[in-house]
Amino acid sequence: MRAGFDVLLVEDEPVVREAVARILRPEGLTLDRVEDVDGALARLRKSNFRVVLSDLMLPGFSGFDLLERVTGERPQLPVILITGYATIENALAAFKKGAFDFLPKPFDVPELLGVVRRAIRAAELRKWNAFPFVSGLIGAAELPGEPYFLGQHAWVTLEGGIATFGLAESWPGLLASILSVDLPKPGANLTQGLACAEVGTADESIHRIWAPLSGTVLEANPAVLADPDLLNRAPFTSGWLARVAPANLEAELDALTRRAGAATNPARNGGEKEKR
Amino acid sequence: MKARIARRVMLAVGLVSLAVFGTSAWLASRAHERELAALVERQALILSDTIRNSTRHAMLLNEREMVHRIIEQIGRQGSLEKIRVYNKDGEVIYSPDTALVGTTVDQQNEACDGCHSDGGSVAELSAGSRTRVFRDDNGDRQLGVITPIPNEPVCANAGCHAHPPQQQVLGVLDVTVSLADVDRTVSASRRSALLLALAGVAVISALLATLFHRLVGKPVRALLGATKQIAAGDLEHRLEVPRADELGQLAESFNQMTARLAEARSMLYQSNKLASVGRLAAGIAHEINNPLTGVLTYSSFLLKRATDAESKSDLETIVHETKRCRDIVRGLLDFSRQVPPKKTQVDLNAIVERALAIVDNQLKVQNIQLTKSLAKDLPAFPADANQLQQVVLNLLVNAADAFEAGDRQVYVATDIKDVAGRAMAEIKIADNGVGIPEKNLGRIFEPFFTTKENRGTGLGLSVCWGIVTEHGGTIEVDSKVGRGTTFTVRLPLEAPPAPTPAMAKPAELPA
Repeated sequence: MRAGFDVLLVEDEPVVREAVARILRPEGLTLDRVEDVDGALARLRKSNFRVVLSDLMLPGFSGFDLLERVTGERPQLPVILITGYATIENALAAFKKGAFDFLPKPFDVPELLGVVRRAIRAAELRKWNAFPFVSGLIGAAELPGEPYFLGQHAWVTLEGGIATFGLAESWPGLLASILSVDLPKPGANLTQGLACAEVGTADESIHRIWAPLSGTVLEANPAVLADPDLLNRAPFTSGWLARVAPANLEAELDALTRRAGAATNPARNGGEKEKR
Repeated sequence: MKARIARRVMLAVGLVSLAVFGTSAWLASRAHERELAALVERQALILSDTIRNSTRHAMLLNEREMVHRIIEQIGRQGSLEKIRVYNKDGEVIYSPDTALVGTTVDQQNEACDGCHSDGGSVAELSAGSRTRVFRDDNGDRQLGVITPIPNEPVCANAGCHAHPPQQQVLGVLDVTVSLADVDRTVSASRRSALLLALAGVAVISALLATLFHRLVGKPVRALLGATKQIAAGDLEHRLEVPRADELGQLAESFNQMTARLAEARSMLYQSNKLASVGRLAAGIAHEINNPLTGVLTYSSFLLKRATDAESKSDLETIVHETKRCRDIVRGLLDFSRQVPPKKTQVDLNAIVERALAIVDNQLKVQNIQLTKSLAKDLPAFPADANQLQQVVLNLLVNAADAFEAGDRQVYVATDIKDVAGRAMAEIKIADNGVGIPEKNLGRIFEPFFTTKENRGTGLGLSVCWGIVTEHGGTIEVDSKVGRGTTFTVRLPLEAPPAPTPAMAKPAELPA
């Protein structure tokens, strides 16, 4: 019988490897540790995992190489990339290549737990195919116009030069009960790929939201501040996060992706606007 | 170099003036000589005619004694060398020099050439052919004038009947005048003309040398010295520009060139410094991130498990301080991120307005008066809107922080400027705040240089500098303590011909 672990940790730095193990074990999570991509691929052939947590800069092959192998062979297995250097570019590249999320160094316990727990829940739901958002089509189909996506992390729609963004399928139904939501204030400047919001959940976790584009915040969704659970229940509709005046839209669209399913829906393509 | 030019110019001018002066002096002395000769000739002719006319009567009366006396008296004049009267056979019949009387001159004698050069005989001679110039035994020049004494009816009818009527010429009066005095005068005047010419050449050469030294030599030597200074690395050296002529313009251009060079060097220096600091920062950030992750994860892990209040509080401090370290490292990475600008066509005024909207509240709270002067015809140009907004925002926040008390004004302007033939968009952000002391002016773009005690990272202006440089633009500061500070950012409206790699991209660092 194949051995099963919750987490495959790929990290060449002993201190970080040990610290992550010490944090995850008391949470009842089992993990296997390797130092490089070759080791990780060997373990993946041998055992079952619910999530891969890999450093980006590894000796030999990089975390990106591992990500490509995993998304190609096991698309249901979430990969979280730990990045330590030149965060923004690597973060954006990670999303574009299909990472579940990324975790910039240095991180603390709530940040680590937040992203790992979300990924494990997503893996469970995907495994049973029990959650309609998993395909990304049902939820995203609610979006007006032709949405752009920052991987599985966030969506962006454009209307009259104003961008609206919200959380994509790596969030809904995956958060424990939400204790706090910290949304960007109007007038704040967002930078694509840097944290713009934070969600604190009852399982002592902090979930950071990365801005899908740069710009000045015009409005944060008051409905989410009043009822944070909208992020769990309806992130594609009433649970949107903020409206932004994009600062460098044309160049930043490169980092975003479009999806055939949502984009080719003829009913949504006629410029029909939905009022949220 | 200068010595060679001066020598060449002086040599050329000396030769030319020598030729001019020499020729004119020579021509003048020739004319002088001819004039003197003509004068002497005229005198000799008059003298000769005088002798013939005064002796005519005595001859008609055949009073030889009287003729003798007259000739003798006239012959006492100093310049008269010889007076001879020949008869038709060439025998000297009268002369003050009695030794000559009775001697015979043959027709081959120079005195006879005028009539007898072809062996025949001519009764009348024109004035020109009556004179001759020859050298005597001492080598002195002599002017001889011959005057034929023609036969006249009165002579043939005279009582003495000495001359038959068919004889045409009775004899010849030959007067010789010495030209030695004339020659002495001429050669003296030639000598003085030559001396004068030489003196003229000397004076002109000296004048020219002085002028050359003043007008060309000095400024050229100064220019030469300046180029040497610059070659030695002193880019602060400036030439004096006392004149508006070509050399003055040259000096001015030279100064401008040096200033540009100094500017370029300081930019290069700055960019090298920033690039190495950027690489260092990126390296440090990367190296420090792993241990920092260890500290943060362990401390937050311990905090999570801590039960007693004291350890909880201590651990909270550790986590908090470690998170501050994380923010500093993030700042370093932001600075060293070296993201090449993602350029789109941007509207600079819109960027400025956006930045102003963000600081609007802060300005109002601090009671700062804002004046805007945005160019209306500013075209869109390729730039990274985000990065430019960061620059404007940074400069605005700096301006807002520049006040202590009193009147608080911030002035923001955009414009189009022509800089060395290139159209540049210009942003000026000025305040009338405390100003920057001169000793700090050279350092404000350095990373981690800050005067905002604990309030800033000291990265703002160096990030601005990096962004502007990446855009091929310039950022300049002008400040006076107590008067205020003006930052001027210029960005090219057209993409530069070749990108200026101001900040080297850090290579991928090993994990």
